Amino acid sequence: MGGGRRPAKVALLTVMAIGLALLFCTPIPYDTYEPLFFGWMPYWLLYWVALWLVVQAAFIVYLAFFYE
Amino acid sequence: MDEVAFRLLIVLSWALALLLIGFYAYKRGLPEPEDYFVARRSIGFAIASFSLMATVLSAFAFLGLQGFVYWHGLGTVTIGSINLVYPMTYAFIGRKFWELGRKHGYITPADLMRHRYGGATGALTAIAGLLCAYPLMVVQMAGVGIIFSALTEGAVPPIAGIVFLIALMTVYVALGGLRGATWTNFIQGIMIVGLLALASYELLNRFGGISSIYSRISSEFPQLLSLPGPHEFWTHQQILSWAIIYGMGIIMTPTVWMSMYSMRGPGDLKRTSLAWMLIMPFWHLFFLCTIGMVGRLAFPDLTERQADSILPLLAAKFIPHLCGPLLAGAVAAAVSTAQFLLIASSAIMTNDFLKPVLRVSDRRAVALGRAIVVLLAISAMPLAMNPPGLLVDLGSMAYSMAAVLFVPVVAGLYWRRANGIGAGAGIIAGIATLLWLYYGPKPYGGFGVWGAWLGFPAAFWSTAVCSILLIAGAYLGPRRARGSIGESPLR
Repeated sequence: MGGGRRPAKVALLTVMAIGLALLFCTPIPYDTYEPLFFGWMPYWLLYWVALWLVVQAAFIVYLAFFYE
Repeated sequence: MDEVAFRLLIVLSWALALLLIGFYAYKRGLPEPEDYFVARRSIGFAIASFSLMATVLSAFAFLGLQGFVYWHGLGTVTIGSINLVYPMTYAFIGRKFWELGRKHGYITPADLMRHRYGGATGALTAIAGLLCAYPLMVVQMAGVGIIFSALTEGAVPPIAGIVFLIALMTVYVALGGLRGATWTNFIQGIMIVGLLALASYELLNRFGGISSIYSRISSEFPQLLSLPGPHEFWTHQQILSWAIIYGMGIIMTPTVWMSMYSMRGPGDLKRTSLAWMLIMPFWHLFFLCTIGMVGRLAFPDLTERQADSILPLLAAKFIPHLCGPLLAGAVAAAVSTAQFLLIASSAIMTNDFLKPVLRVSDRRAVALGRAIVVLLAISAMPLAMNPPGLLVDLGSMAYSMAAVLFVPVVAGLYWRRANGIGAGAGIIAGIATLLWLYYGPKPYGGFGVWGAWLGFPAAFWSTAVCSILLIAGAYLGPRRARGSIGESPLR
């Protein structure tokens, strides 16, 4: 692997690792669901889905450019 | 036409289609173990994607998880984390599995572990694989009978349903091997995902869309939107542990493991993991949650046990035209999971236990594999009609059992220093920890399926114990384990 590909690969793997760690280990406060976004979405779900999408996007980019 | 007769006609057409596909796979097959058990490593991504979804999504996932949303609230959405962990491990580990499988002719999980760590660890892997696959298969078969009986509104008793469906499955799995199981699962996977998508869409429309449903939930049942939920189930420990149990455990089940050997190439592995990552979140974020929450609004006073039937209840009241197809989908979900477990169990019994002892040729090994499929199915039949408590428990902890193998496998692939003593001790201690936390005397054991010690379920502790022993064995044991290919990770 040459040129600037290796740093990009390491960066993507780092984003995935940090994202997964935050996804599974963030101490979300308990026993409350407010504030609600869009009138119905609890804040923890917005946080969770956003993190999830970041990790997913990093993985898809990794698959597209570095897997084969 | 009578509704029950119509449903029976659907099931019989579906059974005929499965038989034809199994027969076609048989005609395409060669009398070699590599063809019968891993389809000559020729499965493409489109077939593999839906086949894997059908394999992993059991009858519980089809019917029971919506009840989890009903009872434990929106926190159930965090199970969706497996849709990150699973495709990632499938892509990264799967590539290694595939390369090594093609190079060394692996058929079962034990082949890889025997090659890396030696015969004893290989045998332990085979035993763990059987302990995972066989009870899970029996539990699925038992579920098939109950759902089939519900589908025909009692016209067909559960015992007759079990006999019919096991006989059907045995014929096309024995004939077509893994290729037949994969092709039939492809059809069933599309059926399962499509039916739930359709049911969710219709229910969403009837209840005014996502925003309307959740606005009502936030005013009428606000605890359902909170963490850890109304019954304090979704703690951080549970969320982390489910990622371990299902993200790591599913990938280590013999069925998924062998499916990675059977792929056509790395590109197919990549596209399969991508397809899973793009399709399956809809399952968790929309299908499960929509049905569970709509169920809460429509039937607010169900007990936890009644909540397991929330999908059939909703279908009967709001989308009666989908009631029959949904129950047929549940039967397909159970059959598709059970049939892959059947072929995997046969592969382990034949390849890891009987073939080395009987010293049979490849051609005879395939015949032996077919005979084992039939024998396993026949042995499962009486157990499925009245499943013993021990088998039900083992079935419920199957993924936890498989997850014990994850750390030794990853260490074997990537850590030069890992050895057979550490891996073997880790697997034994991990399974012993699991059994202790399920069955041991209280207060330090006997927590059951969802129970936990310090908030962490048994699978977390068994994985932790296995990891500690693997590391200890690597540093305290011999540098070169007898029977392995040496100190290097597999190449």
